[in-house]
Amino acid sequence: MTTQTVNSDTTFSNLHVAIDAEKNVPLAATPVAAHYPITELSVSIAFLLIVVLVGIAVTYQPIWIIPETGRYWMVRILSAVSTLWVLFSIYGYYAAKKVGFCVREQDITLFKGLIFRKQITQPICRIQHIEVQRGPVDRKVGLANLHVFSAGDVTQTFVIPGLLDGDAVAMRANILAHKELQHHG
Amino acid sequence: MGENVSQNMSKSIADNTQISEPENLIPTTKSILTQDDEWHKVSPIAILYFIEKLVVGIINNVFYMIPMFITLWDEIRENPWIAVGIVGVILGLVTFFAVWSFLVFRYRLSPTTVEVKSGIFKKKHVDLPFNRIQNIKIEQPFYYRLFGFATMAFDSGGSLQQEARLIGLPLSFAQSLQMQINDVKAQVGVDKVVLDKTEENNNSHIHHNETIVNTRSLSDLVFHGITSNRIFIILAGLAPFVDNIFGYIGEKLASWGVDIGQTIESESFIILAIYALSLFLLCIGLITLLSIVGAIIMFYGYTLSKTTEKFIRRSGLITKHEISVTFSRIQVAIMKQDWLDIVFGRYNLKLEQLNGQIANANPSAANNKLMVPSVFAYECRDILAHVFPLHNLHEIEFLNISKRFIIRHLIILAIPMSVLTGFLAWNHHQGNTVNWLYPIVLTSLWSGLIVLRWWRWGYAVNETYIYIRKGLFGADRYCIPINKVQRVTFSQSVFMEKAQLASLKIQLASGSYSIPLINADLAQRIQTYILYNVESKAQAWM
Repeated sequence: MTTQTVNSDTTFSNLHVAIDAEKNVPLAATPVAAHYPITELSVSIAFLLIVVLVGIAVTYQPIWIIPETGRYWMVRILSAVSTLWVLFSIYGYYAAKKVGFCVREQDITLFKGLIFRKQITQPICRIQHIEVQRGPVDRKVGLANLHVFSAGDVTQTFVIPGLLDGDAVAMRANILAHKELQHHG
Repeated sequence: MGENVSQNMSKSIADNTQISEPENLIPTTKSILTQDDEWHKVSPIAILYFIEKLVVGIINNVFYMIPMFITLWDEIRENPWIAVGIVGVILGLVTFFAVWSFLVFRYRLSPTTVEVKSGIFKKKHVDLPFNRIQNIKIEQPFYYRLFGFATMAFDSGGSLQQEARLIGLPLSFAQSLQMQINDVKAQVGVDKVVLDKTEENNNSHIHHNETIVNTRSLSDLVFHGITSNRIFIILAGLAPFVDNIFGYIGEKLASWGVDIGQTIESESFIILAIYALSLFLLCIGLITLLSIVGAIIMFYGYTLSKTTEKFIRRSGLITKHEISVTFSRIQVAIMKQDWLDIVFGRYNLKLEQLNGQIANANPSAANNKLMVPSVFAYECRDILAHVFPLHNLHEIEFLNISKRFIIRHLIILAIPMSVLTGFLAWNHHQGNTVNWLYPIVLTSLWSGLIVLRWWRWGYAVNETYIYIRKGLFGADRYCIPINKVQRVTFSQSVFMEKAQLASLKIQLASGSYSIPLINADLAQRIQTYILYNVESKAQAWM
């Protein structure tokens, strides 16, 4: 039964016909909030400063004296880690500038990556639920993250970071409205 | 089981459920699903179930305990009472926790929901409405069969972390409960079209319209035991103890009057090689035998049958397992082939449902996958045709991915590795001549594996399915129905862009599947096609 009905072609000549090109607008990235990259960088550097300060304080505190070789290595490890951290943060800053999204009628796409670029598309009809999350820093600067969940994602969640607060809420409402349409319309 | 333990549960919740689902929904007059607020205990035989679960848990982790036993071995040999003590303490703890688990286990039935409270440290309260139940499984471990008891597992599907399990119910009670829940489901399911409803009704008289799709004979199971044995894992696990093992064997042989040192000197190399080889074969033989026994215990009397809407798998020598999987919930079909399977021309057919949360919530998650062991390609074709009618998994021609895969992995894996081994070789022989043999052999072995991996990796796409083949020594073929895709990722690094390549990752409810390094234009067209299909049809994925 199967052998006859199966279409075993591995070429794609029919794909163009199947897709209604008129209705399928190409993906184009809208950047997230302009102050998102600098916020990320500041948070990252602030975190590093705290770690370095705590590390130095621990190394040179007078209560429990650390031997000279211990200090020698502590300082070296700290500076190596800091250097790497700063490099990654700078990379992260430029990567954050590349983060963008695209909301179409039927799906929502996240663009990210500086060298290793990714474009993740989530069909709206497959969304299970959707959340707007704000960290303490996000709240201060008016940013929000949009978390989109679909079935079976355990390791990877779809998060659009660095959206303007109002945008995130509006997007969420928009998508929820669409989902209702999918189910009852 | 009639023992009632009154617990203060808010009545309002119970009342609410009654309001939302009027009582006339219950079809049978002698219903067990009447409204009561009492929490029930199950039969004390459930303690056996908890003991089994704990013991299985311990045995599953026995691998990690081997080093402990090895370090304690000398002490134990001197004083066997230590071992008795350890085993005694473990058994005591197991019994203690089993009884405790039993004592806190409560369930409650209403006309529309089943509620289960369980857990010692991590309290769990599952409230599962019948219309969300996807599967009801009745299990009878051997110790339940003697007394006519059964365990019911309710599977809610979806991404909810809700799995309910009623352990230690009388079999007749479990069966009538199963039927009544099916009836309630059939009536409550207002969303469903009429056709679905009739199917749902048939469902409760499951045994009448079942047809057997496949059975596995004993010889099939022997094949499965041989091909699926975990010998390499065991050998790898033994590697750190090789010295000890050989020392031990040497001692033993000496005690039998064989002196290895002397033998090595006196016997010729060939004879020694034969000794070593036969020893090795003996080990492999023993392990294979164990593996065959395991396969038979697991799959004895295997039958795969189908109704209009689901597969039902029954098997087991000691404990009879019954697993049913609704066709619509199957996300991916995999024809798995280890290298020994390739030699025998067999496949293990796996039909996967949801992954993730369910797997975490439900300890019997391994059972969530439906497996047909050691079947031939044509059997895969026939079984799969019930779920994916248009599939061509057994004979599809795969396209290769880009050779750049090899270069990429050589850069990522092989170069650091050869540098490292090169450094080690140099370090070991400082001052002496450098032994370059190890790094060269290791690097070329590694490169060989990468090439093999590339060679196995293939893909094919048609209107309905995406096919992926991957593996190393073996080859697994995946059949992914396009209308079940949840999310698509298109990735392209700067370097890949120059070479006009891209990778695709296709996410389903059962996991994600990737096609690395194919023509970028093609990848984009596949992506667009998948999205178009999913979005325009919006077919249910479950």
